[in-house]
Amino acid sequence: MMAALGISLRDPAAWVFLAFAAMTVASALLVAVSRNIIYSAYSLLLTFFGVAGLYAFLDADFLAAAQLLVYVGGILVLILFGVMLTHKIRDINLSNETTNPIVGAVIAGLLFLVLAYVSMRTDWQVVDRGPATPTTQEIGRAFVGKYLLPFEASSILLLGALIGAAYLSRHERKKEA
Amino acid sequence: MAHGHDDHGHGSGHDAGHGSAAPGGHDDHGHGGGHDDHAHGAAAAGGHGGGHETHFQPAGMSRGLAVLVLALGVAGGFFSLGVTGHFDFGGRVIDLNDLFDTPWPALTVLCLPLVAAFVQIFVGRKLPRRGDWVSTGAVMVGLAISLMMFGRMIGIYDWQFQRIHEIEWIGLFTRSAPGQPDVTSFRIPMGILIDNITVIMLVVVTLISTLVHIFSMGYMVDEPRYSRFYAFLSIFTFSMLGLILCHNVFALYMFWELVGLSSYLLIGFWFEKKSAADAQKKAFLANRVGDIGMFLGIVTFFYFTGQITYAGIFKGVAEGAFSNHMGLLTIAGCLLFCGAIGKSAQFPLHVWLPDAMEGPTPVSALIHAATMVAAGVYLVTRMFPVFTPDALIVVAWFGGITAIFAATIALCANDIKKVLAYSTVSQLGYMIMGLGASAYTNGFFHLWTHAFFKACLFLGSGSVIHAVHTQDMREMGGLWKKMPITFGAMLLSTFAIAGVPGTSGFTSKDGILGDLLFAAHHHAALWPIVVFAFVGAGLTAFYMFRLIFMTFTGKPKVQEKFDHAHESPWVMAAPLVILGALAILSDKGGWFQELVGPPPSAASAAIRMDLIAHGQPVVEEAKESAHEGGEHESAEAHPSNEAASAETSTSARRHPYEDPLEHEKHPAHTTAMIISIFVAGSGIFLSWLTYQKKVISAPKIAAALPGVHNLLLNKYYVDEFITYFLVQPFLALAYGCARFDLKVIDFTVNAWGYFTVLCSRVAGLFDQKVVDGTVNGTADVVQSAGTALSRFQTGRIKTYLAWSVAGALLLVGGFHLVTNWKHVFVRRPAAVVEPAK
Amino acid sequence: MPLAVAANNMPVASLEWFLLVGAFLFACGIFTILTRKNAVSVLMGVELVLNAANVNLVAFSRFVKAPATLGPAGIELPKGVDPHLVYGAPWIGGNVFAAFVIILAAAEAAVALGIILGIYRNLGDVDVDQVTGMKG
Repeated sequence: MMAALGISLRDPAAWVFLAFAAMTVASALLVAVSRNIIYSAYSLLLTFFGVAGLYAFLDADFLAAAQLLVYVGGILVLILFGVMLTHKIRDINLSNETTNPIVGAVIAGLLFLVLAYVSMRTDWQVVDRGPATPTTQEIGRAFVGKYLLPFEASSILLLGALIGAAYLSRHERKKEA
Repeated sequence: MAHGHDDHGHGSGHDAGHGSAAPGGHDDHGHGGGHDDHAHGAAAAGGHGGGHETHFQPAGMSRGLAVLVLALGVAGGFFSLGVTGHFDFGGRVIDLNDLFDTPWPALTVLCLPLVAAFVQIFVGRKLPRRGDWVSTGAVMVGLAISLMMFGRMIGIYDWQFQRIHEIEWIGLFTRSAPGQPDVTSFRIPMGILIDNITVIMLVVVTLISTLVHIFSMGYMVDEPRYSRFYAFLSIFTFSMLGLILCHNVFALYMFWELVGLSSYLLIGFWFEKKSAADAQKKAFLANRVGDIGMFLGIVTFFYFTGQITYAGIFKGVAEGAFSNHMGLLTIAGCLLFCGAIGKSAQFPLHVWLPDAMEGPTPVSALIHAATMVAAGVYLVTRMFPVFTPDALIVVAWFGGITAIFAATIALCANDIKKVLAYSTVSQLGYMIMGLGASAYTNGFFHLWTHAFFKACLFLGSGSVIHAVHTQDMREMGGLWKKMPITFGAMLLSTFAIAGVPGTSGFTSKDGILGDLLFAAHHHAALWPIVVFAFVGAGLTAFYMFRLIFMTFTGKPKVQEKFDHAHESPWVMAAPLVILGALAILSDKGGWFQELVGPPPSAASAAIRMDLIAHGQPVVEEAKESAHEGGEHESAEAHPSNEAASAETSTSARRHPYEDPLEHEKHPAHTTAMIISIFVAGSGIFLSWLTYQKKVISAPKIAAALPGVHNLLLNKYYVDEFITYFLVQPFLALAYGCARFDLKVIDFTVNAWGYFTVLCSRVAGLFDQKVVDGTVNGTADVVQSAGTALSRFQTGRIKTYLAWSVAGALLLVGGFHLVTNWKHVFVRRPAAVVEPAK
Repeated sequence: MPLAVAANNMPVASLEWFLLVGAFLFACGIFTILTRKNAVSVLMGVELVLNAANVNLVAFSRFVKAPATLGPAGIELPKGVDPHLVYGAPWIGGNVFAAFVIILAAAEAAVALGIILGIYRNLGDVDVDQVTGMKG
């Protein structure tokens, strides 16, 4: 029966996986529905952690590390900065109002249903790739080999984003002054 | 022949002052340019002084006389050069036969006035002296070349001399067969014809034109449109030279119309005056009437002969192009003569010429006395071979009626220029009459002599008008003391026109009268013409001396005008002197009669009936032999190869014209001479009695014959006749047409218009309601749809996202649900894992 | 046939689990974006969506059969050179894609935050429902 689920409950690792999956799902739900934006932000932290765990289960060690470093260390900090910069910190209730929750829920629910249906009903061409190997070396080869051009383009994009963000902020300050 | 040439030498020597041989000619030529310049400078001084001069100035006049003598010397030099035939120019001998053997001298004469006209029109006013020297210089160069040609003509002395320079102007090709060269199916040549008539006309036109140009420097000096006047004069000179140089009727017609145009421009030169503007229109329209006939005549000849050159037409007619339509040949000749009626102011269409006196007096002298009106005579002369005897009778009758008719009107005219105008009409009538009576040589001879004395009379009248500022002879009188030069020149010319023996006019008119008398002996229809001619000669003498007596002798009628009168400046007097001299001298030498002879009649050859053109059948043999000889000589005298041309150029061979009917004509000429002397003398005597001695009272005669007097005063009511019987009916017809146009055609048009408007209203309604409705409906649908759809464009990102996600769901999920609804809820088999490699 | 960890080298859970988690994350992200007024929350939703996509990418990379070819078309390596060593393993494409998504997410977050601050300074609020400048 468990086999039909695609998971072996007798394997402890499976429980670990389920825990990560549950944490991811729950925290994502909390991000979506929490009334307090600070809560949402911290739930998002948990979601990122969970996703990093899932990466680990998928033998993507480099990505798991990158997820932690970039998302948790970078993006989430940025989001928290955004929350704090756009709210008066003395506000007791950092409200996080919602509009049309029913419409959103219907659309999101239908979306999940369709995605789940597609996931479950598709005849995936799954292959066994053998024992897990470190991916960092492979990714590195791909970056300097097949994906060299996107890699360089993304670096330029990052530079542009950096300058653009700085410019946007600075420009507004000047305008204020 | 030799005798004739000696006579000519005498004459030319007189003309030139000192007829000189070739070396002398060279000298004259060498200094010619300098003299001309000096003449211009002097003319400038005289011209400017002329406006303020009130008294005779001996100093200026003597200087003018010096220049005059020098100019005559130069002219004589050119003439002598031509006679000599070659010209030693620093060792290089220039053969003056090239004047005729190449077209360029003639073309130079032709084109210089045209260039001058353009210069005058565009930059004339900015030039010094307002550019009069441009036009005058151009025509002076033409005169020099013409004089050389004239001299060369005298030197060659061949009455059948002829040169044709021709190019193909228009050629229409037809393709005969593939690969074969094209065949010219229709060609219009263009070229110049130079023969004795042409050369004589060239001299007439350039000489009188030059003198008129010079005269105008004094006469027109106060004119604000001075340079334009000279431009017009140049245009006229160009047109007239083209008319006499061209060798085909096509070009003749074009220049004919150009001459008409320049006449129009010059008559209406003072277009501010309504009478001048009316006169120019009248002249133009009257000429149109004649020109239509002439055009039809040209077309007729072209239709039957297929040729437009004179020679081609003559050849075609002689070879029987009209052999099936002999009546048509007469009609064609008459149609051609219509042009002459218009241009030479013959009887029904003469009305424009007296009115044309509204133009400046130099113009009257140049155009309406000496040259342009002679174009009609020139036309008849040139086309003489195609006139049938019947057509010539018609020509003679028109000329005779005109001669007597105009002379009677001149009796009662008081305007000095009107008298001269009617006198011109009358004299042109004599020329036409002479040509019609086959007096070819003398008719054309009268053109030559008349040009000089009539130009002199007109310029003299201009001088008088310039002095007294009136044209009415009743306000003049006694002017001979004030204006001796004008009086002298005009008196000489009056002697000439009256036919006093010894003058040029006597010779030419007597020639016409004698030939007429001779022709009338053989053709009874000409007897009335003879009577007209002799009576007209007497009347001419009468009214011309009436003019002299009223103007120059007796007591001044208006003392104020007499006191202000003065002799004209020498730029005006010098042409008078030259023309006055030519009035006496232009017939001397006898060369004219020996160089101008009637060409063989193509029409008569075609008809085989030669009553008029060359006498009675009794002299048929003489005529035949003359023709054969003429043709024989012609063949030799028109060589196409260089050798023969060189032979001609030695002027060793002379071919004067000898009238085969000389002896038959002699008695008639004697009779005519006696009669004409008597008639002219009695005319002068009666005039003297009436206007000098006052023995006969003109008013009493007028009172005694009120009907006649009124008839003459009103010019036979021809103008009124034309007005009532031609102009008014035409106007009535025009008004009728206009009314028809307004009432019927406009009504129809308007009805159609209303109908169309109605239709368009209906169509407009349809358009508005149906078509526009459709369009607007479409637009409305689009707009409302856009409005509805624009609600989706809330600007809120979330809405867009919601819709796009919903749409994606609909596409993916909905589509799948619809197509595979049976399998949606059925579990698919589990995925298969392939083993690792 | 169920996936057994012990039997082979596959992950403890089957592909569908990962896909379901990804789908749920995606739905949550969409819900967040649709319902939140706060721009920062919307940004969080976007991050959720991106993570969902990443999970799917990595899962496919791990489970699904990779393409045979590695290098760019038309370029042949010298003989004896292992294309895997030059271009990386064929199956690593999904991981690389996910890495790019992370890179883009970082950039997007920075720019988005700049925009949010701009909106805040201009409008005094970060309510995305107020930002209707593109209303038709």
